[in-house]
Amino acid sequence: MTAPVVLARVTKAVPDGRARRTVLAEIDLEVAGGELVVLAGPSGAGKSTLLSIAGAMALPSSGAVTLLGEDVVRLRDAHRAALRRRGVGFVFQELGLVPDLSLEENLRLPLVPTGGPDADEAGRIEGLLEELGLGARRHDLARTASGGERQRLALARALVRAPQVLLLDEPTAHLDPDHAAALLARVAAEKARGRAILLSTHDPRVVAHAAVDRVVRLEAGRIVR
Amino acid sequence: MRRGLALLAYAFGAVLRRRARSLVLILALVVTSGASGAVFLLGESLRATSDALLDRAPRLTLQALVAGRPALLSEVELERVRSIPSVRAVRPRVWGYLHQEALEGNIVIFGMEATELAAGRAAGLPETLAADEVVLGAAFARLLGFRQGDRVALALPGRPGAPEVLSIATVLGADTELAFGDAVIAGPATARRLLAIPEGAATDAVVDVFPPEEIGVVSERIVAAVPGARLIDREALRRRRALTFEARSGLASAALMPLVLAFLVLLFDRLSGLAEGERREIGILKAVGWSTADVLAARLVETAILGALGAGLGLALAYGYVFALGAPGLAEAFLGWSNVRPAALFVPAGGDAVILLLAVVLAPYLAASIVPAWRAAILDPDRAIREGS
Repeated sequence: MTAPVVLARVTKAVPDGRARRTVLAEIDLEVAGGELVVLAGPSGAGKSTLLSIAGAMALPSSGAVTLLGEDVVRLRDAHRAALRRRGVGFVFQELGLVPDLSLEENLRLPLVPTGGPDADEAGRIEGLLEELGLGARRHDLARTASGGERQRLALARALVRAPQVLLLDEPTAHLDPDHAAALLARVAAEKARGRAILLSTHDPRVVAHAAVDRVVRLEAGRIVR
Repeated sequence: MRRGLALLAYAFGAVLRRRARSLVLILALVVTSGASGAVFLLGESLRATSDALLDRAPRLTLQALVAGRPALLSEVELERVRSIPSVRAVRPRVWGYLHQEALEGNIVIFGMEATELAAGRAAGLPETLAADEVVLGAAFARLLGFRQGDRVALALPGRPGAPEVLSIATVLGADTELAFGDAVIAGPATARRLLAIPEGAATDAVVDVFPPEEIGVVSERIVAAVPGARLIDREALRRRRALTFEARSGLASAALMPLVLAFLVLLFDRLSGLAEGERREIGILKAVGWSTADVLAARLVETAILGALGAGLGLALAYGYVFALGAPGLAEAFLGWSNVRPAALFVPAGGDAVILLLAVVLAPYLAASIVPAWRAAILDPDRAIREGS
């Protein structure tokens, strides 16, 4: 059975003045269901770009990306968006919250194009808000939330559609040890539910976490081990 | 349906969250749609009022010209017309202009027979008029402060320093102003005296033709029978008046073009220049699964909400300005600068005219918003999030 995330010989080059700079080169990577893969490496190594490509948010310059069995490069924009909506949960390094929306409205954002939450999704929203300790603040604006609350909200939004693939970009970057541990525990629980998880970090606590199955080290756009 | 409602709710929220930009666009649209709406509604109202008045006007009117100047019709000429087949009746009319220094303008004297007065009861005319009685048009009465029972002194060209003093039997209502605002209605003998028109002569004559299909043939025979005859067909007059108001409406609209263009430029600028937060928000939406079409739809709905609010408010203000206030400042351009002119406008525009106007105002607005909305919708989510953070 094909892994939910398959990258084959993926290269990404971006304009840099008159020339083009290679951000990723010849990347081969698979993440299976129920597997937690950590992308480690220094800043600028290409981790975030790799996550964007793996999540069908950006396209490679060359190579193939298969996400949940779909050839991402060949998909039209609307289908790629539907694939992201249906099967991928993203936690951005910058969290990607809309500060002028309430916590609950941020959670509902992925569901707007399909007409808002159905009964299952409404129940999941309730559950996530309570499980992650955000229930009491659901109507407050995201801008008023603390760093920890925002991080949990970003994770909750990534999980709101119960995606098969979870992508997290430096999720512990701004968290204290307690919050980081809680978040990793939650990620481990999602792995146990069978989700394919790709997580980028340069935090040694994450790399050493017991739930991590594999660490892929990225330097200057290439996998070094 | 659910998707549409969800996008609508999101767009409403976006309008509220981006208050400053929303207010600028709404205000600009209020000014633009209000100004162009006032011009359109005024023109439409005048056309409708003119039509309503013409509906009551005679189908065919005969006048005479001598060397290009209006001349009186003689009894002999009227008899010739009566003898033409298909002419059922010829009704001579006595009317003319009198210049009044007090008004710095002309008034129109109408002579009316008892039968005509009776027919005009609904419009407020008395059953009979004594030799020293007249009925005043509303604009004339208002300008000089006359009321029923007052006496009015009319200056006559042949009698300097010896005006004709007449009693005011009544003042016509405001609904007749467009046709009779500057009128003085008198009995036929009084009108002849005021206008120095001899007995038997007439200013013009209403020709009743039956069947109406014969009007063309009868007109040709009248022209042959009465030297210098000029025939006024009501339907031709209707078209001419419509063209007059359309021309004035067109001129006023042309004067508004710079305002409309300035608004469209402002709109394009406001909608194109995405703030950092907006770019980031669009990036987030696309990252969490919104397609380009979803973002485009949300942006267009947001723009449409602003448009409906701004144009709706602008048109409501234009409606009040024209129909409640009488379009002060603008009405002069349509009605002329005579001192004795109608005060208010009278046939409010119907729902169909307002809907048409709304569509005309919103069409260029929505067209100008499509490109900025598209440019926003095709933002690359990855870049938008990173650059906007």
